[in-house]
Amino acid sequence: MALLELKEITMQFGGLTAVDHLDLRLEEGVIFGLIGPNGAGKTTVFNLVTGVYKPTSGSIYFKGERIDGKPPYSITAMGISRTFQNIRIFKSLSALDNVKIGRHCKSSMNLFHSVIPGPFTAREERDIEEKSMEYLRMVGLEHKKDILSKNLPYGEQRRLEIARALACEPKILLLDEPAAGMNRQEKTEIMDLVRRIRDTLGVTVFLVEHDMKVVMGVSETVAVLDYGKKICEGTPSQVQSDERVIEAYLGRRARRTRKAV
Amino acid sequence: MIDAYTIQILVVFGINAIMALGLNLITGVTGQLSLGHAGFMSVGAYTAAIMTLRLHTPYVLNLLAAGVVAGLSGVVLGFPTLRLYGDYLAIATLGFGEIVRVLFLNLEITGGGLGLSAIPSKTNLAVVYACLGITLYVMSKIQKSRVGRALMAIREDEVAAIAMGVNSTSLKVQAFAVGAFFAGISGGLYAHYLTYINPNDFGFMKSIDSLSMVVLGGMGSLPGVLLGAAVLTYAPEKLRFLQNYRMICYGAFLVFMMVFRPNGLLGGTDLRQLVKASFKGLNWGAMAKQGARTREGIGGSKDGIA
Ligand SMILES: Nc1ncnc2c1ncn2[C@@H]1O[C@H](COP(=O)(O)OP(=O)(O)OP(=O)(O)O)[C@@H](O)[C@H]1O
Ligand SMILES: [Mg+2]
Repeated sequence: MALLELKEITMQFGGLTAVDHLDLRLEEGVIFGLIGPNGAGKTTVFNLVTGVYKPTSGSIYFKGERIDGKPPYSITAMGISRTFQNIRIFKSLSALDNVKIGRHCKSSMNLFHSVIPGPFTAREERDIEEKSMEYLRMVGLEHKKDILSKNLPYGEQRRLEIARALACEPKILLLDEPAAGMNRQEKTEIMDLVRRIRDTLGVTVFLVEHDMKVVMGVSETVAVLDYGKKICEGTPSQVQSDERVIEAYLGRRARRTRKAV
Repeated sequence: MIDAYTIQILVVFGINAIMALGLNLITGVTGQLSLGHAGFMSVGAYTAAIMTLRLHTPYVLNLLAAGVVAGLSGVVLGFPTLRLYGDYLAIATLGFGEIVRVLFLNLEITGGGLGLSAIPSKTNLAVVYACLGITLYVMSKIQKSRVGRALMAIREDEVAAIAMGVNSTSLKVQAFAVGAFFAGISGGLYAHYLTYINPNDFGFMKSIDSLSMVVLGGMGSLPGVLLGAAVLTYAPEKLRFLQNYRMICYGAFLVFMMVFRPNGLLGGTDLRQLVKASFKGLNWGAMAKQGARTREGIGGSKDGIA
């Protein structure tokens, strides 16, 4: 049984078909890359999996259970966690508090627990703090825990967002262009982090990324999306040499150049 | 000994502070602009007054009932409206405040336009400060807890909060309930202090009053709210000649704060962020039909959440 499975997923926005009869299967423990030109529908796929959008048609299964139509917060609680293409950290909260909020699903303390103190509450609060620090350490931000997240440099904000997403101990982590806007060294660090997430935490990684070096470097399987349709899927080397992929990426430009010559 | 006038100011400050602390949870911590908080105070004041006048129940019970009934009205208001975002919510809360006022002006049990009088005078300095102490304790505990962090996450970025597993609708209703509870307590204290109440005591002006207290000190900051309540309780006493221009003063004040001290005097969260989130424009209906379920999807950016 696949960990995550999309069956015949279509998503329309008015007249625009952002995702078109898409089938995807992610086995547990893989690093799966999803690429495609701008506007291909990659982020929309993430929004569908996380329940932000309800697909126009088709179904999504997680651990064999159908999840499309469920509210996003309960999908997260089931074990699907994500980051955003345009970083969405909690800006005026400290780095540590950001990660603590990531642990929301891992605790059940309600309003009454917060007001009425007790050993249970204290222990739980300590546990949240310790675990959150672990994830900060994993992304190398433990020394920045008290800094307001909006004051962190861009690359660190991206890593903080990953720590926050990991804090809920997901089965699968969706990363939407984690290397965007980073320099070469930061990109290497991100690749290393992605591998560590899978190897040490055993989390399946679903990666959307424009940087070919990064996706091809870490993914075991890559699927290519163009105008919402899957045009190719395979190992990085298979995908790189696929006619349709080259066409989709270089497309008109390649043809035009050829004609000019 | 302190003279009667000072005691009066101290009591009124305490009552105002309790109400503002309640509003702070809703607006300062959770980021939901409420323009009808006086409505909850009104519900509390009338609950206490009616209980004592009709049922002759003891003071403490009246206060508790004031809080509980107001809290319940917060839930009743919260369920339908908290699915709304930004300006819709602001308008709905404003409408709530006005509905409560008009309703109490026309009901028999609330004494209509005459209001209720001969409420036993029970509220004193000690009671008010005991209540204020409890309010501060509860609020500081909430803000440092899992629920409090989730509320702040909703304020900071609701889409991201939901993605982290926060059930934002449920938590917003809870914040409204707790905020309304304390406004209700403050209303109960008020009724038993002044001994007569009138629906117009709890009008739109009163709501703006407490909003200004929250904004002045710094939204989300407990010392900030206390400072705001102190300043805005004391200043009007000294500036009585400006009474007729209060609306203008508060309007000017809120704009001034937004431009020069968006984080309040003691550094709370950014007022501009709240206003931006609260008045995002009304062209959302069309995009909502396209299947998006969250604020951003509905209208924040053209391409939805990225
Ligand atoms: N909420 C929405 N309403 C209307 N159109 C949308 C919405 N969300 C996405 N789209 C459209 O769907 C298409 C796919 O968008 P999507 O963001 O998924 O692309 P993407 O592959 O992530 O692109 P990029 O590489 O630029 O991030 C685009 O044409 C976009 O404009
Ligand atoms: Mg995208």
